Amino acid sequence: MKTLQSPFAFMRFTLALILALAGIASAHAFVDHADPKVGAQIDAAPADVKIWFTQQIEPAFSKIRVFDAEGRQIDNKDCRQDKDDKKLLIVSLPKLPAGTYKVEWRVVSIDTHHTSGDFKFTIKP
Amino acid sequence: MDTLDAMTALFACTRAIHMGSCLLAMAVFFFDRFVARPHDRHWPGIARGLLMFALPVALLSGAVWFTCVAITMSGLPPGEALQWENLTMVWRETQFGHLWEVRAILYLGCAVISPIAIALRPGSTMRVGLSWLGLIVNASLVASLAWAGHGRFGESGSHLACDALHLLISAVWPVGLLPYAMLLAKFRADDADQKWISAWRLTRRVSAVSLVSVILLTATGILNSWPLVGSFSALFSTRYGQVLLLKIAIFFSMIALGGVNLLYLMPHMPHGGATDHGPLPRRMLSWLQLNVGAEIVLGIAVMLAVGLLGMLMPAVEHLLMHHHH
Repeated sequence: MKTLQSPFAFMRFTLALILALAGIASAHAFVDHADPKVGAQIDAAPADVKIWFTQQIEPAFSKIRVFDAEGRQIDNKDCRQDKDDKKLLIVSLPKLPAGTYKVEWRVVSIDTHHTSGDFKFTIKP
Repeated sequence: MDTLDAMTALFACTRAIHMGSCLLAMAVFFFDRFVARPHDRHWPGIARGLLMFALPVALLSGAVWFTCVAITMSGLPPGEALQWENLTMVWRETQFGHLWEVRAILYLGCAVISPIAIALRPGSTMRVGLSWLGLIVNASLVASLAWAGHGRFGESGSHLACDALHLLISAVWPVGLLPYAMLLAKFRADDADQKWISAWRLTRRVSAVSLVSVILLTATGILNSWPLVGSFSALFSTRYGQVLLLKIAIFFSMIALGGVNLLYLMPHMPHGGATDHGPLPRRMLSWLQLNVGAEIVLGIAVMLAVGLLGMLMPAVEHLLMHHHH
């Protein structure tokens, strides 16, 4: 094993070790992935929109809304957090015709920070 | 949230004031158990005064903090966000609300135990027991703050524990400098022959705990900050990194002042005899008081920086977000 030959080398080693142990994580909730996928073109109408976030979310202040091309909210307004996965938010949809839909989300992570965003998906004719 | 609007500034100040007051209440009990001596006749008065200031401020700032979170969580204008329905929703249905519930109970414990403990006769068994209890309850109130900020993040228990430890140590130093400065001022004003030796002994005890605290604060500070910063370049290119750099710079200025106290002023203070009333010890004591005063002012600046850091998007996420855009 190579020895640490100088105090400077030892300090660098210690710093590198501390930083490696510390790791990297995140505080705000961002979209990890979604179903339908962001920007997806799909053949069959989905029964719901699911978004997995990078952090646990507060369901009381988190929501997903889905709009059609005319800007009408078409989801069933039953947005809920998954019972088992606290990072997953779901809203159910009625039977949708072909077209492009916009998904808007606003969530509050458990450390109280809020984030928001949107994406679209298209159901092919 | 990456712009410094009025709401952010208010929230950051509230966080700083709440953290500072909770830390001060804990510092009083740490000082009572580990630094002050039962025969320090000035200490009970100072402790009482500090608690009478810290506990009401902690209550008020805690309530304002909750209100600020209710506004930001709901995304509603303040007038609508402060409706009873929204406030109860935050209190009952969010993890932050549950945390504040627990903290309200802890606060109640502090508010009941603290004044009784300090009012009892110094050195009595009851006083010692309640003072330990006061230290434990106040320390719990301080440690619980880790759940209210970026300590939650990453769902890592070790990060949370490290954040709690960082908070607890900062109650010892630099917040503990406030009771020290007040006791030092009282000693100086004394007519007793023993005042120099009392001041020296007090300073020696404070130096010992401060030295250990600074080492632990540095270690826990690095462990806490790195996951939120992610790279050295982010220290300079993001607002979070810049505020953190400012905090580190102030922290090292405080260490430099503490170093002067430890390495230069303390050895020059009279500690062998009780009757040295020459101009040198007076000058040294004035200098020491000035340095400690400067450290306290810098400590307040650190607290404000910490309040702001809790509001800003961590550097690592800021870069991630811009990368996605």
